[in-house]
Amino acid sequence: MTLHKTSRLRRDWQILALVAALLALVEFCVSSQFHRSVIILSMIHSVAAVGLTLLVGYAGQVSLGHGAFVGIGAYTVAFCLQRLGLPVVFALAAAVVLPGILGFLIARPILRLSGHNLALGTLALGAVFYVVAAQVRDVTGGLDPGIVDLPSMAFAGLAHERVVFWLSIFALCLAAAIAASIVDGRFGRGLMILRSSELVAECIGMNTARAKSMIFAVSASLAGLSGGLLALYLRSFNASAFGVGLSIELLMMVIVGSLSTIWGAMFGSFAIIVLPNLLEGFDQAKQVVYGVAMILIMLFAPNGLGETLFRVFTFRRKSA
Amino acid sequence: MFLQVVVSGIVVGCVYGMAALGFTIVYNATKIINFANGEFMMLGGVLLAGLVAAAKVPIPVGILAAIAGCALVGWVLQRGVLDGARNSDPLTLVMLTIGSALALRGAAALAFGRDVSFVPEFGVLPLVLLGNVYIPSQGLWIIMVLVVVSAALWYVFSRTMLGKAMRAASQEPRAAALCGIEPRRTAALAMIMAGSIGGLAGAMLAPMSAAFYENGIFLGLKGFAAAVAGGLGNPLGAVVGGLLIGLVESLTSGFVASGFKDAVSFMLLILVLILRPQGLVGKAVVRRV
Amino acid sequence: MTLQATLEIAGVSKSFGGVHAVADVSFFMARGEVTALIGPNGAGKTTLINLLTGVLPADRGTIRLEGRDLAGTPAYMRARAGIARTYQTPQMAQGMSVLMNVMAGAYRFGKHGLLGSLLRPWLVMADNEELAERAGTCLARVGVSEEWWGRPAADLPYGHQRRVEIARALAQDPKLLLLDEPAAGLNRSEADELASLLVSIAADGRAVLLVEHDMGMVMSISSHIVVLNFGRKLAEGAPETIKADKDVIAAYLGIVEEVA
Repeated sequence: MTLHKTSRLRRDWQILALVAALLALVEFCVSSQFHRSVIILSMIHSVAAVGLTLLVGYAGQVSLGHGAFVGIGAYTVAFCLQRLGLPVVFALAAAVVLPGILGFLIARPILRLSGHNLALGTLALGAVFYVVAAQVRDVTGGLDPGIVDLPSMAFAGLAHERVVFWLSIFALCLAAAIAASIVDGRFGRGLMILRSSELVAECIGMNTARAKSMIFAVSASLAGLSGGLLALYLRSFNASAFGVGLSIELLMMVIVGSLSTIWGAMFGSFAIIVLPNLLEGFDQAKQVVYGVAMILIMLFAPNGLGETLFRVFTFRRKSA
Repeated sequence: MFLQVVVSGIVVGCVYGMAALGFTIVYNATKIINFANGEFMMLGGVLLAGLVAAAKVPIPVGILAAIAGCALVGWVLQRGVLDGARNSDPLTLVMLTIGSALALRGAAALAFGRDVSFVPEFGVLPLVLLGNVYIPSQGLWIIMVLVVVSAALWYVFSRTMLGKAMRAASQEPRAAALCGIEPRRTAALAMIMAGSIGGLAGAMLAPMSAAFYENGIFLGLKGFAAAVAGGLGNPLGAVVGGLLIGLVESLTSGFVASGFKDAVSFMLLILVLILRPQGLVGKAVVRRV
Repeated sequence: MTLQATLEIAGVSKSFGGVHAVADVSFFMARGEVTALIGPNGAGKTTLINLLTGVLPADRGTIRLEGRDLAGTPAYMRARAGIARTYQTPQMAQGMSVLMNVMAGAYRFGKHGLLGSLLRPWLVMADNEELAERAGTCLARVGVSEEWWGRPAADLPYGHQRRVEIARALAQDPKLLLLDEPAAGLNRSEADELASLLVSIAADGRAVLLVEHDMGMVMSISSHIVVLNFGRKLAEGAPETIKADKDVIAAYLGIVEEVA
């Protein structure tokens, strides 16, 4: 028995502790305002990407509409803080719960679709959210002005950015811990069976319709948490932040990282957020580079760039 | 008022119908959902705007150049990107076409700038006034072009060897290959046709709504909505679906709120996918096959 | 026999657009016995398996597992009630090791749900140990040695995939095991091993339904044989009875000789 790892959970926790320690170290060391903001944005997007990995990578259900849940999370936080005057903790909790519930309700009909119809349906769903968010100005402020002047997070002598940094570390670790527990448990194994064949999953006793709804809800919750943090960090934003582009970027983070481990999502988010900010003049050609990179990755490393690099690396080491 | 709204719905619907046609042709030839289809239309508009407004090229030449440019892009997309992944799973193919869409969008922004640009109306045709309903000159152009494109496609697919070969390749790829029909060739042809139709449609639309490098996403989704509403893979259904989506949008913006018109057609797309995947129209065709 | 019937099928029918895939089929299955379901290709055997597992709803008729009517019970509930199956082509999940595939089979014995794994992750580890233990036992029983357990299941040789699939079904600890052509693609010695494995599985006190074209295996290990032809039950009885049945011989003429 000892030859075979029955649970990767322990190892995942070790990785998680390492990541957390590393991020904390970074928090203390980084002085540049710019670097700090890039890392915060990476962490925030990672939260959503980890959730999306569960849905796309493990359960095999593609979503091109998760930007909508990020948006719902962001507007929920804004609404709770500005209109209801709730404390930040409750606002964030609402940003997790509300998208989760909405996701659960939407999942049943939308996940009756599969393959490219599911991609189309979720893409349309994300587009609907964007249009509605831009129009329902009472709640969202539309495209102009959008949400403005959320309160600063400065707390106990720590500046706004530093507090958000710590919040993001915490949220990312929470997301990863949740994802690791799901993936390594029987539910995760069921999902992987489901990805290969819904028939087999049913016949081992998994309620596949419910399982798909649940994992969709979990990924929507994490997207919501990500959106909530984004709102807290940016303090001002509008509907254009949650368009189809965000949904595609999130999916890219998953694919750039890896479809088969949650750690890939972190790699992917950092790659997608950090790289454009490091290359000078990249912004002009950003979309072209994204597009071409995506094509190359799908052609030559369809399991994810991170995973392919990892495999190549470990293979070299083993054969050396 | 109502009739006026219907007329403008039909005009926009004709454009969506053309978007859906290109999409359908590619789907029939390769079973690929081309998420870059809307970018052909965007490119058509932006190319025309760039050539006419900036380079002072005459409009007819500009239109031809836009069509040719988009056809070329379609060919490159098929040969350079999609051919390499013919046996991939749907997710890979979806991501490949999305990646291509992003690249095209970015390339358009780099080449023609990120500003909204305008194209003058084509003119020549008069503005028609029927009672108190008027049909704009550009609207007449669009309706005519859709009729011509549909007729041409009908002719190609039912009367020429080329069209028959493409249909054969889509229905029975293996048997068709045995008859000497190369699936790679028909796939490239389909994408060239989709590119040309998309470029033409985009060029026709440019004078009515401005050309902009980000137009492709929504135009593409409208094309999907039209194609799906008409029953995926059915060219006649695609045109009917396009008109339907155009009408629904026009009625929404005329009588509900113009801001929600996009949301309504996307919701329609989702509902049709879930409730009637065979399409709203085109049932008879599905049965016959 | 009726008293100890594990599975009781009465008047079950299913048609697809006018074609009667399964028409008015009735039979019993007893625990501790291998029942064979045979018939020419297209006779409705796989459709019947799909009806039993609840993947397809039956048009008419009743299916009872240990006296309990399964009408309206979805596939996953039937699996939890103790029906397990294998497939004509092995269905190994991509990206999962052999052991994990079989652990997935023990889904219904996992103690933690989604919420449980979130709130008390240490339960997951204890649970995994237990499920791995169960999976290991099943793998050992079907003769897949430990060196294979860590490998990706989808990369295994065909014969091994068939065994892993039976192990995955066994991990469900089924009362009723449905095997869809488990000997297809196996060589003689593998088929013989499979035969004795099936006998021992039945000896656990399970009811085993064997859909198989290998007449040698069918005749040697089944206590009871049901013959389907064009969706209808053609004959039923002990192997000797079936071998002598004129209708069966007519339906099978050529096929029996070819195989046996």
